[in-house]
Amino acid sequence: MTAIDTTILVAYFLFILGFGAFFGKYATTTKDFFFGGQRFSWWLIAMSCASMVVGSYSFVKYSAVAYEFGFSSTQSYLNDWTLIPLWLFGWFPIIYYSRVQSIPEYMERRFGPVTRIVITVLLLVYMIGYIGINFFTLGIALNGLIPWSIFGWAVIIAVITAVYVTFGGQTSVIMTDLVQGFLLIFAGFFLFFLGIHYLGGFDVFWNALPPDHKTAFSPLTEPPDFAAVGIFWQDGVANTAAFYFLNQGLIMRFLAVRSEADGRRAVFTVVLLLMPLTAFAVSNAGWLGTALVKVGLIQDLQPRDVFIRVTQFLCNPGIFGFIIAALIAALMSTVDALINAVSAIVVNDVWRPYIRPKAPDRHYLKVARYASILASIVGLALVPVYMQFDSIYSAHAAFTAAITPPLVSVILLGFLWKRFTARAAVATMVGGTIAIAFSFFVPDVIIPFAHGVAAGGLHHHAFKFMRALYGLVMSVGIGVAVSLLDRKALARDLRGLTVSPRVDLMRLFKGSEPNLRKGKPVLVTIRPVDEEGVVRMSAEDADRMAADPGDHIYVSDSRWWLGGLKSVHAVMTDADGGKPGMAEVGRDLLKQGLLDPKRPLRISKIL
Amino acid sequence: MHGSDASFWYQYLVGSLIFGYGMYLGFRNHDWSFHKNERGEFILLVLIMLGYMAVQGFFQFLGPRL
Repeated sequence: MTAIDTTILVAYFLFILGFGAFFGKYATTTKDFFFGGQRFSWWLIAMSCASMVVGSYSFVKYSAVAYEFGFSSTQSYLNDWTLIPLWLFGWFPIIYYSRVQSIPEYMERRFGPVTRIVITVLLLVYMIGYIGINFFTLGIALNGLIPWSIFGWAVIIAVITAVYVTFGGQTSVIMTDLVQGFLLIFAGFFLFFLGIHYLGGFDVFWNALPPDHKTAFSPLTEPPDFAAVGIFWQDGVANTAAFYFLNQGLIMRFLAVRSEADGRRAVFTVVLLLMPLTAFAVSNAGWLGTALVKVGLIQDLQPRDVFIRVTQFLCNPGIFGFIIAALIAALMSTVDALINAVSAIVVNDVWRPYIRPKAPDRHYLKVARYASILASIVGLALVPVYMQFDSIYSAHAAFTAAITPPLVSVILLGFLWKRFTARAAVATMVGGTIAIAFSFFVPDVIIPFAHGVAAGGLHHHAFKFMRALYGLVMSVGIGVAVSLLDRKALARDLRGLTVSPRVDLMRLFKGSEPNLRKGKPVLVTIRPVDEEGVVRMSAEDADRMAADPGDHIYVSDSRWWLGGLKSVHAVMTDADGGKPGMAEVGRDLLKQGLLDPKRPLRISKIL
Repeated sequence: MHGSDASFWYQYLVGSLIFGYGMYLGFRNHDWSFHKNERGEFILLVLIMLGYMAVQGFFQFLGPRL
């Protein structure tokens, strides 16, 4: 580590700290703190989702896999398309229009309070443990590059992340993730460019790869820890479903989007563009490693060291510091979402319902900030525990493997099948977890689901990937069986909580008939008025927007590149006068949206 | 068939069933209409799936020969 690398790293830390903390002024309510005021554009949400996917371990892990297996290392990132229609047409409209604030809240509304308590406990244990794992794995990766204390690295990163999340909440998370997402993708591509340049051209690289490293998939049933069928069920189905349907951080991102249409655009961008780019960015050090060994430039390269050694080999001082900054960006953009998500669950599912109901919003905002700090401290405190007791680290991995399939099954059955009952949900969670825990001791129960993949280890190390299919089948089986046997299912109002025609969900959300006529946004100059919540427009502008009084509208600064940072949702109160190109807007709305009345504003109809 | 060729077909056959169910929900929730506003999204989703299939298929079947 040279002086220039250190300077780059320190500059990066200071920039992220300042940039993240700057957005503290945008978090004045819990709605701002958790959902960024529900005002952001699709491209900000898309980039922040992509950077959330890439954790601190991703570069190290996928480079190792890429070194061992070649291009098939990307298959874990390229299978999200299977579940996207289900998410897009089933789950997303439900969470967007029902305005649930957390997964446990959805569980209570769908099944009742018992399910909410169970899910709250499981999610908190999982997420706080995962914060610790991210700090721990980054400490290990950095320790390999710059030998210093693993815990020391974790402390630095934890302090920076905790500071900006505590100040700015979701807005800081989304804005810093935009920068960090660009950085980590760019760094991945830049490393590849350096490698190709060093090797002497793309042809040398391509010809150095063995033919079986050029296929998109690994063999179907071997090796046990990278068989394609295992990757499909564990990564492609169970983990992808957990990410899109169960991840509190992701749900909060999509509740921060300004409209359902923007949420859809964001997910299209993630699947179409950003997932392939990140797959390439995190894997290519492994492919370069294979080529560098083949042409004799690096000797004796072990898979787990690939990312570190290839980076050290290819990067000059300065660039090396930049790549390390990207590695840290990958961590921060994952951990900040987790910290914010833990805080949301503590406030919405523990503090507000059980400890201090009906307190003023500023009280909950203060609790949210304390919860962010506490989540960072507890996550950090787990680092020495993981360092000392490998079994604890393994236990968290086993815990995650055990709870993911039952939780995913409960969510999927919950919104897809009205007949799925509260008792069946509890039975699925408890029974599914027991079935998976049982497979840790008797792995042979997985054999009928293993497609011929070998166990590849003992106890919870056996059938690491095929356990997901076993867990899903058992959990869904229990859920369906108990639902069918449960004749005393309570009649519960499930409107808006299960898959329904989109227009019905919109009607519930709006409280009246949604306006689906297609209009265009209008650019207006503003006359501030003292009446609360008022947006009064000319009949001509309302006509152009295809909006009627009572319709939900979105008022934003006209500069698109702000991504909705200065904007507010409102209801159009009148369309009965005034000049075209002019609108009267309540001062309270202008303040809420941090809008400058001297600038022209863009107003569009939402529904 | 090469071991990993089977993986390609497995993912696209089983994956298409899950994908197809999601699309079915989409059509059902839009009252089976192909309204102009949403038609583009349905088509784009199918194109994304076919795009993935084309790129992964290219590397899977032609990569080792190039």
